[in-house]
Amino acid sequence: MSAATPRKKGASKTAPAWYLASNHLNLLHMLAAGLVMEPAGFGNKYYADCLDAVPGQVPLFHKTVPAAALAYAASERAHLHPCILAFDLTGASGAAHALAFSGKQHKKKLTARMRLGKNDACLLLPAPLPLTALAHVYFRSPEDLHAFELAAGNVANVDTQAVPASVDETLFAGASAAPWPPAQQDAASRQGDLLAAQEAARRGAGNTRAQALGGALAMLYFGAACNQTGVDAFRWATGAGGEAPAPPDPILAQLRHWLHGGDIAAIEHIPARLYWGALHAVATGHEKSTIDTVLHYLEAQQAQLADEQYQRRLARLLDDMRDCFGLGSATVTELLERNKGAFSRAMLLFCLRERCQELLEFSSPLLSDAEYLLACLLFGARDGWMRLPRAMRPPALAAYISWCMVAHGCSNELAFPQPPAPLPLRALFPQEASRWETHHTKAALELAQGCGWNDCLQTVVAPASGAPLDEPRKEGDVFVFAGSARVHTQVVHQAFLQRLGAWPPPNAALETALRASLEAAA
Amino acid sequence: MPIDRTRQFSLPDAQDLSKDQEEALALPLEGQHLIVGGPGTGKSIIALLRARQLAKDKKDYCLLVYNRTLNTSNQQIFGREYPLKSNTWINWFTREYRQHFHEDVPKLQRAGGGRFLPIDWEAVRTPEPSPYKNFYLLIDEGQDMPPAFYKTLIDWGIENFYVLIDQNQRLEPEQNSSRREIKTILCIQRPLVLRSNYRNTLPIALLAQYFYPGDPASPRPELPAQAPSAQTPVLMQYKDLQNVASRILRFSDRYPKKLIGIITPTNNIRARILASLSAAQPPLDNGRPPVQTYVSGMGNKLDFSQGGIMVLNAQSCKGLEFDTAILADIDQHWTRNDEYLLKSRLYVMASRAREQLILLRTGAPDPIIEKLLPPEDSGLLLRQMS
Repeated sequence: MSAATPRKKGASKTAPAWYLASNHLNLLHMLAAGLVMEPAGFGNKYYADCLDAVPGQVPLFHKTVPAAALAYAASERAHLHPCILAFDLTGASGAAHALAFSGKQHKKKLTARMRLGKNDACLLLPAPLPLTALAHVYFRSPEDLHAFELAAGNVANVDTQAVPASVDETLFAGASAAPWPPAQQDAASRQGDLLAAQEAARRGAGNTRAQALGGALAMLYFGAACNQTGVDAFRWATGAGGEAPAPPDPILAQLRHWLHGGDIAAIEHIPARLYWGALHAVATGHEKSTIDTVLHYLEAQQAQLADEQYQRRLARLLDDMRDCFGLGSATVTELLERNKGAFSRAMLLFCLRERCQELLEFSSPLLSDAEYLLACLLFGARDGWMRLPRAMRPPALAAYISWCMVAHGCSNELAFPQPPAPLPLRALFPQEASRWETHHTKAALELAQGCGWNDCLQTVVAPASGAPLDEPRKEGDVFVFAGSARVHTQVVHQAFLQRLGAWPPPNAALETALRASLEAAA
Repeated sequence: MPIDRTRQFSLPDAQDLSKDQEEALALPLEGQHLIVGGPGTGKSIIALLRARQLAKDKKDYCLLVYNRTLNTSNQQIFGREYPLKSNTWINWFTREYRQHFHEDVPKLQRAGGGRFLPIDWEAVRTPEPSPYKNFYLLIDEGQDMPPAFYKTLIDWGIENFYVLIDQNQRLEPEQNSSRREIKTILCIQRPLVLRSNYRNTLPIALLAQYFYPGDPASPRPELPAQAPSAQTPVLMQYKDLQNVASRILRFSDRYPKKLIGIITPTNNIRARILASLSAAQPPLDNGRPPVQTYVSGMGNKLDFSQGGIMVLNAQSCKGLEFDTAILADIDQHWTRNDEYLLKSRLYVMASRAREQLILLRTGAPDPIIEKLLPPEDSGLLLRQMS
């Protein structure tokens, strides 16, 4: 959403007619999280809005929004600007509820043609919803939209391009006089305190796991830019670009098992069980720091290991991990050399770098592809999708991750249409130079030139006729050849593939254009 | 290829800004605004974000600070996406004055002489007409500038002020401005208060709070939320300084982009640690990290744009922050007979650390210091032997 965002008047006529009343800063938080959440999902910063009406439910109004709901959404602080989030529920299915003005709830089957009854205040959908269902955001005035854009510009983890936004005064002017919130809730639907607390805790754990799952998948996508093993693992895990074989690494081969909520204790391969157990602990624990969580988990596992060799190796690894948190005594190379194996090295990297971006900037010749990818998954689970910077949120990936977080991360009863998983950029360029076709060369050249990757470009000067060129003479920064010559710039194949995996990734606009041209050529 | 040690200004995440900070950032560009907050509540980041907004909107602005080191740090880490126009208040005022009147700022003559002469605010002239109609002034550390400075700015016709002050500073009348004075001079109705700790991770903030001296005039900042990779502070007992110096170099080698501040109790210990760092030759992956030092009055410029090691004594660390802070030889602080002062100093030093905090001690523990440290079973401080 740049300054060039179209400020459409009367856009509501064509827009989907399910609306959530919120404010621009809650919206910012939801865009960062990749989910439309209930208040608990906002951590310690939630501004009162319609989401707090019914625990665990997202209230959506049909066609018009009550003026009281809009006023409430901007009531907590003077700097809040109301906004209306418009949802497109086409293709969504499952059980929902309607909330009557009386406060009573009744079941509704979610269909494309679903409407509310005249006594219904709103539709209630179980939170969270994927951002793929959010079709548009409306603001009351250009000033409100500008305030949102300014606030988004001040943070690192929101890409406003993900959702179109515009000004629609009519939607705000036409707000209904319906009361909000409804006077009382349905007594039958109200749960006892204990049950409600248990239910809230279950949803909270679901949100934490959803964020971890989103972060892990995103890091696999970016880790896949570094090597073919990653490309194959991402395709296998997500089905992007068709079926792919399971990764040969025994730990990585359990990725799908974890994604689908499989039982970690059932994994027989010991390093795989330890790795996925540690990752699961990171993905579900949020009371302590993740490093303490992992250390405690592994210490408990160490005591249970029957194999002495594994016990010894794990004890040494735990010593080295703990050592990282004081001044320590070893270099990264020494640590990696004395702790070999994918599990150990992924755990060490977990202690040696803090954020996903730092891992993507890190490289060591000692690391195998699988070791690096396992570290990527662990880092992604720690940061979660929420903490990933804008450069790691290309629109197609963001849409896919948002859907995955709802479909696999939480036990949401609703189903939403699945967006396609985007292929990692490296997958668009064959590994072997001999398989490159003209469109690959052209796209690689455009990308390298657009990103200023001079280390993977070279310029070839060839004689125009059959006669060889003389040695050039140097005039300042320029080489001068006698006679006429043909000059062209070409991509250094291996250097280009390596550059695709380096941080920072290419900018989103350039990548989108490149994907379009490669797909058209294919 | 040499390792990249570049440190750059990074925007906060959406969930990391507090409601108060968001309110401060949402204040209109025009008008007079006063933001008040204790140490570590994110005043400087708010000032930089505000400067970024003004730069983005191509406004004529300047960010003033009191402290030359903070100005250098701001300049170096802001990055190149937008230009940061900033200066120390005294340099800015002197330069502007000379530009308007082609003469130096009038100074008061002191009976005893001395190099530093205070500004004679009574004799300061006013440019006519005001060249500052569309000018935006951001002032960080605003409590450190004198009230006469603010009055002069008003006389000069500056209308757009965004002033950030620390309410906890000890004030010297005429040299510093109180919250009330700034509020009155700039005609500010309602100052905005920042309450949450923004700088430190939760484990560091918890330990810093343990040292909080309990001054009722300065409420301690609210605790930050748990960050996923936050680490519990460590207290390390060592015998051999050379060995510790090698470890510090290796620590820096493992995290080449981190700025590590070693805060010493005295200048002697500062010099001793510096010498040990120079003498240590441990094998490293990335070559020797840059090591800098700072002594008040030495006039050297510190580089905050690169990861590495910075050794300075406790008196010089105010207002600075480091990715990792190492508090060296904690039993040697000269304030050890005054528990309040000692707690204040430990509080200030501990809260310099953004991500990691390591306390070092050698020899027999001082009983007064030991009493001030949290008990072993509190979980606030992990104890290690070198």
